Amino acid sequence: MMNYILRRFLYMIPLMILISILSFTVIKLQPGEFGSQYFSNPRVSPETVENLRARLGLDQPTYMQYLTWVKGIVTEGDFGYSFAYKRPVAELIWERMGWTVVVAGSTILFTWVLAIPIGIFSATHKYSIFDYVFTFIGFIGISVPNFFMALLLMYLVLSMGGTEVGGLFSQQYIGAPWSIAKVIDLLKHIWIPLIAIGTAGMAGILRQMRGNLLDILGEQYVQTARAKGLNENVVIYKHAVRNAINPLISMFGMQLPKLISGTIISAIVLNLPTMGPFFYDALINQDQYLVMTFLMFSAFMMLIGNLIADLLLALVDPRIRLD
Amino acid sequence: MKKFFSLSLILVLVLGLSFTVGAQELERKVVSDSLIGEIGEYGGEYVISLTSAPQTFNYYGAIDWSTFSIMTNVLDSLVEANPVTKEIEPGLAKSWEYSDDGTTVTLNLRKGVKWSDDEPFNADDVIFTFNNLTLNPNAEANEVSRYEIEGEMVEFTKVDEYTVEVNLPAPYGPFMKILSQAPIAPEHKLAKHLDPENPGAINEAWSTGTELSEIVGTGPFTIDQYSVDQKLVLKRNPNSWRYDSEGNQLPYVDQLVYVFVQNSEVQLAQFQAGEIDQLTISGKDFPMLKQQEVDGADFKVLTGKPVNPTPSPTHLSFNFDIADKELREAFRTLEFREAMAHLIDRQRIIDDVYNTLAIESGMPVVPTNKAFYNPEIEELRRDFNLEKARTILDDLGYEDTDGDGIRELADGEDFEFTLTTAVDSQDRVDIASLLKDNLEEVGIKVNLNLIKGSLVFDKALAGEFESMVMAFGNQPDPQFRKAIWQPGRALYYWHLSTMGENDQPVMENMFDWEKEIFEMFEKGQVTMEHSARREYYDRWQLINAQKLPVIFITKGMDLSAVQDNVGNYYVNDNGIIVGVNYTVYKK
Amino acid sequence: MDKQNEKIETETNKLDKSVSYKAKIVRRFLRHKIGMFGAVILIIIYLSAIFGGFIAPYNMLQKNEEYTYAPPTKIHFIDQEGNFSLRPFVYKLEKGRDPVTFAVEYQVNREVKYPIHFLVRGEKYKLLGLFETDLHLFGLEEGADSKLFLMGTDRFGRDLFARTLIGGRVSLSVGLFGILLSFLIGIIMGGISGYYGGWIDNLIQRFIELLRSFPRIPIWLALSMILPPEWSSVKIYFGIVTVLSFIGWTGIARVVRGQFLSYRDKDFVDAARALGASDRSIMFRHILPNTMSYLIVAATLSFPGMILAESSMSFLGLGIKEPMTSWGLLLKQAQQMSVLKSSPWILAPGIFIIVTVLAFNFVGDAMRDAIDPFAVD
Repeated sequence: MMNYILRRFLYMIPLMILISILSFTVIKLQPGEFGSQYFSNPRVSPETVENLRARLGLDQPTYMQYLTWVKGIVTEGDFGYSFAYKRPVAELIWERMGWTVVVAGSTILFTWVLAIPIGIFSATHKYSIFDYVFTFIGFIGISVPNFFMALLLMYLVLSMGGTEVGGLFSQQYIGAPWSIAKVIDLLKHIWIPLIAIGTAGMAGILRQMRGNLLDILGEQYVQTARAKGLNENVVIYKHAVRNAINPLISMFGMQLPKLISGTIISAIVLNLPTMGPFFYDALINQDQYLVMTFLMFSAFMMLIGNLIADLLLALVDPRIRLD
Repeated sequence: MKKFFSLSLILVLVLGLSFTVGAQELERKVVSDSLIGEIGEYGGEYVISLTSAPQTFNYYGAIDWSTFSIMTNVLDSLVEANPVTKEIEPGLAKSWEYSDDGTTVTLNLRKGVKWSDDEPFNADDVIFTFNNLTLNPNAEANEVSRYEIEGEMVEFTKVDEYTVEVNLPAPYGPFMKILSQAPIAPEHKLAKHLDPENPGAINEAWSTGTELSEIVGTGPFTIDQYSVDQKLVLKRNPNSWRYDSEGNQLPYVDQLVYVFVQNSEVQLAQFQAGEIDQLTISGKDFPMLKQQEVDGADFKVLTGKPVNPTPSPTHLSFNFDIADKELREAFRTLEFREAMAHLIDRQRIIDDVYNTLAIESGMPVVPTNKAFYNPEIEELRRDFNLEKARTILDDLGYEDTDGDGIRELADGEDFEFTLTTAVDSQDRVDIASLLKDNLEEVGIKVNLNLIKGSLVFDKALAGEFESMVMAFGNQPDPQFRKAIWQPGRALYYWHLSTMGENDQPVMENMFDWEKEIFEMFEKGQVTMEHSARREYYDRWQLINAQKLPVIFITKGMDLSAVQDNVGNYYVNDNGIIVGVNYTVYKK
Repeated sequence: MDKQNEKIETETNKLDKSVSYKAKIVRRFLRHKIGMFGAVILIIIYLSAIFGGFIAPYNMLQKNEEYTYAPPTKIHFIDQEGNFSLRPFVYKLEKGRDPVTFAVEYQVNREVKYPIHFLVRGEKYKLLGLFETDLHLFGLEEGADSKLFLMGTDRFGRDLFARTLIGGRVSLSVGLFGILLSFLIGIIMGGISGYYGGWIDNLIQRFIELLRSFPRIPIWLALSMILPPEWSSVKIYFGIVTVLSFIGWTGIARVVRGQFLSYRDKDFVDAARALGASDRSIMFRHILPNTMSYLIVAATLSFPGMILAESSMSFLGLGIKEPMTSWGLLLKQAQQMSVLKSSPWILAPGIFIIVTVLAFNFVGDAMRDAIDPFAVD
């Protein structure tokens, strides 16, 4: 097992290097560069922009910029410097990590806690009204774009006279010490992103859970168990659900990385203090090392997620052996 | 003995007192009535929003609107432009004198001013700021170019603790205005960030990760608390030197809070929820908010005549140096540009794009700028008239000979060009789209090219465009924008061939009228007397209106929404919105 | 996924050459009510996008100063006096402005009414991009001093109905081209990988792994910013297609590889080889058709992702640009809360997105059920 994990990690190294080269190429292919945005500013002379380029190393050939960046990471663990914020990139990303994980984590919690029981119920009550309703909701859920859902929810809340839209807190609680009122305020805000971001995922898991369970309930060993006269609940929960959930477990590992990088657009619409909008700004401004580090970080999370998924699968399914 | 003792005690007391008074009594500034509608009450917090968090707290460390907006509450300039009238008033310098030849300025600093950490402010801070920040080419947001006159730099020297002498290489009319945009930073906090080995290090001073007690200022507010990307709290500076006419120290509010909300729609929602006290809005949002005001909401929506640089006035430009010979010929012809001017339906643009809340803009000087605006240009504005445009184009020989509805150039090619504008500005995209329709109506084919806002200038300065809808903010003094409007300067993008090496203009490539404009700017810069300067800039505006180097379109009005419990935020008798962070108060 | 493959495999093996298998699938699909429902909706949506110029009464680019943000026009059958007419009609709409709020307001003038006619002459357009004509399916008669906007108008008074239908062309075809491109690359790469195996297989698999490690949305955003700003709308359009296919093909390639791996040693392949068929012909004439049913299902199910991705990108302003339009771009204006509040009809294109994606999901599900060999017939 340890051997396997170690090998997977070693394998990540060349992969990450290739990813970084590709990412850097993509970023460098963008027309314009950091500094272009300053021309219209009355305080900035073209010489200043030239100066800035030289200091940021933007006047060097692309491969040199890349190598300098990699060298920094390898020798000092330094992921570069944000042009816009004048601070180490790693620090900036770390600062935004907390809320990103909170939003992603609670979305995962929300989707799984709802989706799994509903999926099981739907499957065990196939073709009931309940099943039809949730099948339909599931279909709708995967068909509505996240950003559209966010817009709709914000519009609905506003038109009903609500005020808790956008962000995670009312402004008076930002930076305030934790209190019950603050938690309540958070809850008043966070449900919109949870639904906007989570609905599609929930619908997907729900459909998958229902499908898997139905497949398994049709299989012979379940029939056998029933024929043996086992209690229906035991059949379903002890045998069928356990097996039906396995394929979902592999999805679970990928949830966090997907949510971190996959919710950029809704996070922009909803004004969340997470990494998505931050990355988008950096991309627009061509703050290259920030963009690079974020991309690398997301890719790394994807790789880890994959590994975790495989490990989890091996853990719950003794038939799978890692070697 | 006893008598002597008490006498000497009194003497010592008096002496001591007078000593302390002499060194430390604060020379207050009583804030102009133009900023205060009524005497306010102390207390409360005033919450406003910015679209992005500051990149740094170092005013000279980054060219960033948020940094600029926040730090101007914390730091003060030697002189300041009145936020409403734009007139120059004393700031950290309480008075100044020019030498007779206009090349030496003596600045008398305000005595008794203390930084927010109680360290005294004096001439050393001024010298430090100019030498190491404002005029430091390595500081990212330096202002070197503004202090360079005829190739030589302005020099600052300390005369004594409270006197600074400035040597100008030549008389420099707008000098005080320029000084008003250079806030003074504390030497005792920033000197340690200077590193002879690494000249760029100064940009890393006062980054957003800095211990907030390190960031001190003389301004009305000082930074108290920062929640990354979400909110910044500034609190009243106990050492503030601004007072109202009844002797109350300003600001009135205890806290000034900036919340960072990127999405303007969320800003709007938070304003409606009462979480934000004041919001600058666009014409599109006006009806909704106004309706709510009429329906009894607790806020009011104010409409003011344009005074601020933004919303930037839009203009239409044609590339005089375009490679295509026929198009270049057309673009350089005044009559052609006049025809184009006749195709701008300003009334419709104001109606559809700005919800009627904009003015027909003639020039880069706003009409409220009494010091420089030349109203004559209004009579020269070409009306919207398709027929006239058609006649002019016919007379120029651009006729539709093959009957496809598009006029032909002399070489038989279709009269067709691209119109470039920034995709992130809905106003400009809309204007471009309306222009395209009108041009096509008279037989000129237009292809829209919508590009990312930050790339627009790249394209413009590389000459890679055919025509553009663009906008530059207004500034109170034409000198501030000479890089744009003076032919041959760095941003004179529609006629790049007038631009030579090292910022040297190429006079032989200029039209005669461009030479005259060039002249006007040169004179305006080195003239001290306002009325004389004004004549030069009047002439410039007139030539612009006649010769149409670019065609101005519209400028949005100042629109602001403010909660009812905010005092001293109002529209004054001249129709201008007044609302300054240090004079507003909470009712 | 893989499990399903196996199932399909075993089934297809059993029924390799049988014609009845295909017929069976079709029959099963036709019997799937929700799937059929989805298919009918899709046909309607595609047809109305293709014939959008004819169906919509107006040109999508025509700006109407007199009708900015006009609400959907109400269609009447009964007039003021209570007279019923079989021919529906509309009342004249007059624009005004609130003197205080400057909001645009519309008054219905009940004095003047205009009947709706079928097959009327109106603004010119090119049918199927070929024939210029001015015939529209329905509309007000020429010379009528009002307009018929089924879904209201946008800020320039452009007919949102026409814009949505024509914008649908982009949204619907981006998915189509994106999938075509993904499949083309996916089949070739997956086919080579599975058929030859060995180091080629290894190389391609590693490359796929590399691409799949990229976070999807960030890399899409980054890629769409490479598209040169001076490109015309059409080029940008194909640029977007390429961007969307950048990662999309890897999923297909994996599936194809799996199928090819299992087929390459089958008897009929050996037979073809013995008869001297070239590798290419074996791969694409003999093996590929066997995997077709699965690929079609996979294609149907990847449509929604493509459509959603295009709309998200255009929504951010990184996709399709004016004067071309797409559903995502049309929704961009809904980002303005005040506009949304006063003119909620601008959300209509979003409903088109949802309905289309929903229909694709219905059809995809039905197809999956139809090719499921274990389904009870």
